[in-house]
Amino acid sequence: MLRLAWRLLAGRPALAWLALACIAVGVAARGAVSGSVGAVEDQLSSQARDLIAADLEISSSRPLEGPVRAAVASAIPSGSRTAEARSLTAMAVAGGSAVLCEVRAVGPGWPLAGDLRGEPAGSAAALAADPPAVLVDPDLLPRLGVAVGGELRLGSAAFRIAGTVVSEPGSGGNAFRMGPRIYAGLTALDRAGLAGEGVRAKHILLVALADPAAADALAARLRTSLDLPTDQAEGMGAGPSQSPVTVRSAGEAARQGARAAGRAADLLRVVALFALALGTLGVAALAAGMMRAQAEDLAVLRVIGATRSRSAAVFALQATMVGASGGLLGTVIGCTLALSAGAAMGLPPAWPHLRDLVIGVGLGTIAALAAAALPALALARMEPLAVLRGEAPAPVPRGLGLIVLAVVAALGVSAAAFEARSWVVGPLVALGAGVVVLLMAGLGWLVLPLLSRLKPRAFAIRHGLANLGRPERRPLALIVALGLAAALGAALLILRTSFEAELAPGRLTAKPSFFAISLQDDQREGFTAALAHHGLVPNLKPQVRGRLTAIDGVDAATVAVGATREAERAAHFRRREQNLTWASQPGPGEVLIAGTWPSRSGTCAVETGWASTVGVHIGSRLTFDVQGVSVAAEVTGLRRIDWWTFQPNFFISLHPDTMAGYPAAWLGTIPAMPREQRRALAGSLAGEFPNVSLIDVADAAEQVRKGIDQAAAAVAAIAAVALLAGLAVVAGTAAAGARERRSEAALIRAMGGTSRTVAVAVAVEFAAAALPAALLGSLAGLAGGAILAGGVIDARVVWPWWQIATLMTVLILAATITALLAARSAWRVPPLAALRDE
Amino acid sequence: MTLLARGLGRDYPTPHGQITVLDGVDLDLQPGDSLAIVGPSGSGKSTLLGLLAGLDQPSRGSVTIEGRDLASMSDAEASAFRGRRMGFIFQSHRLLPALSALENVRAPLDLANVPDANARALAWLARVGLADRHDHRPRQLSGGEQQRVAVARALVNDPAIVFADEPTGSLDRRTGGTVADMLFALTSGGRATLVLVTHDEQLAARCARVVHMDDGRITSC
Repeated sequence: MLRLAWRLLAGRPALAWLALACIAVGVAARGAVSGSVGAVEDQLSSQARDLIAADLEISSSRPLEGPVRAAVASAIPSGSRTAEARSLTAMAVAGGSAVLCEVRAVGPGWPLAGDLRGEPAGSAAALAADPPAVLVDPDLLPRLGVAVGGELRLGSAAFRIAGTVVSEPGSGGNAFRMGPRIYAGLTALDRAGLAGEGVRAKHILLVALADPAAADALAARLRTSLDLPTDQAEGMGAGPSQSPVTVRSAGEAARQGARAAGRAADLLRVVALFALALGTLGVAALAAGMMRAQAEDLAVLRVIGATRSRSAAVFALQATMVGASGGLLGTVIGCTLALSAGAAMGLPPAWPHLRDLVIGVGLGTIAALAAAALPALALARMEPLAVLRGEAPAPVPRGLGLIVLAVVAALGVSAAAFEARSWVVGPLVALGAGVVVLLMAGLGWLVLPLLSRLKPRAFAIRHGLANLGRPERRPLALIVALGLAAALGAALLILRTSFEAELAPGRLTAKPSFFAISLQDDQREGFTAALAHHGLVPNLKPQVRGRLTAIDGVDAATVAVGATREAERAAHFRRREQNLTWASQPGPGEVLIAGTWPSRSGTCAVETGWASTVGVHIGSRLTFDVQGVSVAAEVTGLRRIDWWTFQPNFFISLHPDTMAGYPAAWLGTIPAMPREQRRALAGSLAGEFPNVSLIDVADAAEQVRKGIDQAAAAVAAIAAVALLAGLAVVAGTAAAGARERRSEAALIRAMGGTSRTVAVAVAVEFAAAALPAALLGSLAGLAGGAILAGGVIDARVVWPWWQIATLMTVLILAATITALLAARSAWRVPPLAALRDE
Repeated sequence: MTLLARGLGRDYPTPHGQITVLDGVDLDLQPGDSLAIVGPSGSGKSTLLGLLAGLDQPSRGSVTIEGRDLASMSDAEASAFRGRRMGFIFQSHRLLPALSALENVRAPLDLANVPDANARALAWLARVGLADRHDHRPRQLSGGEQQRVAVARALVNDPAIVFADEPTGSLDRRTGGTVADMLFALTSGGRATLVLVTHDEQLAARCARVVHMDDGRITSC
């Protein structure tokens, strides 16, 4: 049977190759995403010790206290080495300019793994020398207007710039930075006043073991002895203890980084699934053509003794061959693309993981079988005599067809959930795609017959349009595929333009100029007065940090982390340090949408998205651990926050009396002002309040914009593959009817038509089908994108009309050109050869 | 229409080497001639018909119609020539399934940009007895009806030469007889030349000339 299936498949090489290409293109998108994630995993895994500059890292937002140090000292084996470091943000000031920097203060012996190298060579040694010196990111020098050998101020102390950073260990797997990096000596930074309560820092104790392989086990033992949650190993933050400490080994840091990369790739994998869905449509179109082409062969087999199930099995076997080979080829192509991209970015080569190959082959096979299900059933039900008389196999009964489609839909939803690692996001995307598919299919049934009734005088145009009215030639797969591609493209376009509009420089003029972080209670009046000199009134909000310990009396950390995206997010939001504020009424950018504003001590209003993620509602009783003191508050209201106002806002806002007497830090914004005045203001504030970090909103917006650009580029690359898959569907549709088309073309040419007549008819047929698909698909994508941008992300929706017009034009042109290329044999084969072929 | 074929031959490449399906064929046809090409399957009849009609390029030799070598014409010229001067009837009707009977008949006129295409096509449908079926699609017509539409389509442009490849081959004897009567009746009134390929000796006998073919060559005239 296998041989027969292969022979029949090889007998239609064009259809077989096109079907394989449809699957391969669909799977290649996923392969590229998986390959990229795999490359990051391999990179992190091979350089795990460099990530934390040691084998083991013990860190805390507070200075590491005696019991912690004692526990570490007793746990680590002899022969181990230790070093200390501290990470914080601080303003670097020089010549009246101030720039927010990420400062890493390092003690003797740091790094315990990896190498800190500076330019000029050996400049890193100056960190331990006196007078105090720093190594800085090369980017910082022009921003401060200084050079190597010059001076900058951090806190209250001046530092000589000994050199610039060339390479550094200890990124922790986190690519995001608040500002340029500065390295300084630990004791020098203490003398600069950047230590103590007013400064938010991460205090780090590093350990290098004689046997690095023992790091994971040692980290687990330390967590047990310090009473820390065991799932810290999975990056779930510190526990609810009074002294929040995090312990992680180099291997755990690498795995956390890899998981973060995997999470970032979830969305890309779902977009990639679009490509596979489109490829499946292509195979469906080709399978229908293949079924018509093979019906006679299989009918003869039935006549000479093959059973119904055997006929269907032969067809299913062919689908399996195409799906599995397409899946394998697609994964290899995708991984090769990822490899090339990685090489361009300087990453070491990462070969496809067996897991990705298996998933790729599995997805390809399932997709091909799903596409071939209806034709296979039609073949199983065919009456051989009718087929041998020249009739096409009867279509599958509607009820059975609907069952098959329901199974295929269920497979699609499951695949989307698997790829998104979410039973919310995945099925929602699948549902959206399903709606577009139904819309497009409905459009096909309604519009194509109408188009076919148009009777323009030109024969080529009339024949092209008339072809759309033939049920067996109605290009539903093409319409659905192009509609999906248009919907995906339009949704991405509206999301991007809406984001960009929110972050556009013109719009930022209405937003604050700076965020001020870590302002202490006793500095508030002075800070306000300093700004008053410039005619500015800051919007300040109090802030204390605490941990959510219980919800309605149940330990908040008992929720299992789980495998889904939502479970991970819920666990993370419950266990992270929470920022609490208090206010007697809603501030700018926040609106109470349910319940009442906290009106008495022991009540709070929470942000609606946070409430849904964490699983609380009005009436829930929350308990926080604030610096060792238990604070309870009942949720009386839900708030919606417009984060795009860039005003200080918090998930949890308590009644002011609840927090009476607690020492607060203050977070605030400084109103908008001309850019040239900002430098001077930042310089003077940094000098007067050295512990306060000022984040330039324009810089932050630029960072966000860059991030969005990078994400958009990645999504656009996968969407481009999806478009390719859509074009493969077009090619498949054109190729599936190639034999008929050749015969008709020969006839037209025999009657006096030219090659051009035939080509125009093909172009009109496909352009006419592509136009409504691109139009309705774009509108559906715009609607979905607008709901996401306006309703979920709260951005102002900007309609990208001209980009949509371009997208539609590109889709229609690409579809028409692809169809012309795929159907070109119709007018290139001599008419006699085509007529004899039938 | 004068048609001259000289030393006509056609080879096809195969994985096992080249095969010759037609070799050394000479033919002269004058206006009003009717010629039947007969012979066993695989003797090269349809290949000869296709070459005479310019539907394929000969490997050697030439076909000259009204003094013009078909091989010297561009694709557009050859198509336009066929549209104006030739009519075709095939064994399996070969109507365009997307078009109605009327649209099929008027297709050659549309391709030649003839102004009163609809009226002329309708008149020809009436002559083959299918005026009341003008808006039917091919799949809604019987085999005989489809072949009658094909006859109307072949003749609607008043061709100088009509090529018919087994025009009754897919029809039962009675229907085939009707179609044949119609074909001869409609072509004999004018000066159209008729070239038909057939296995049917009775049909061949109705032509003024009969050529026999075997193994790619004309064996008797």
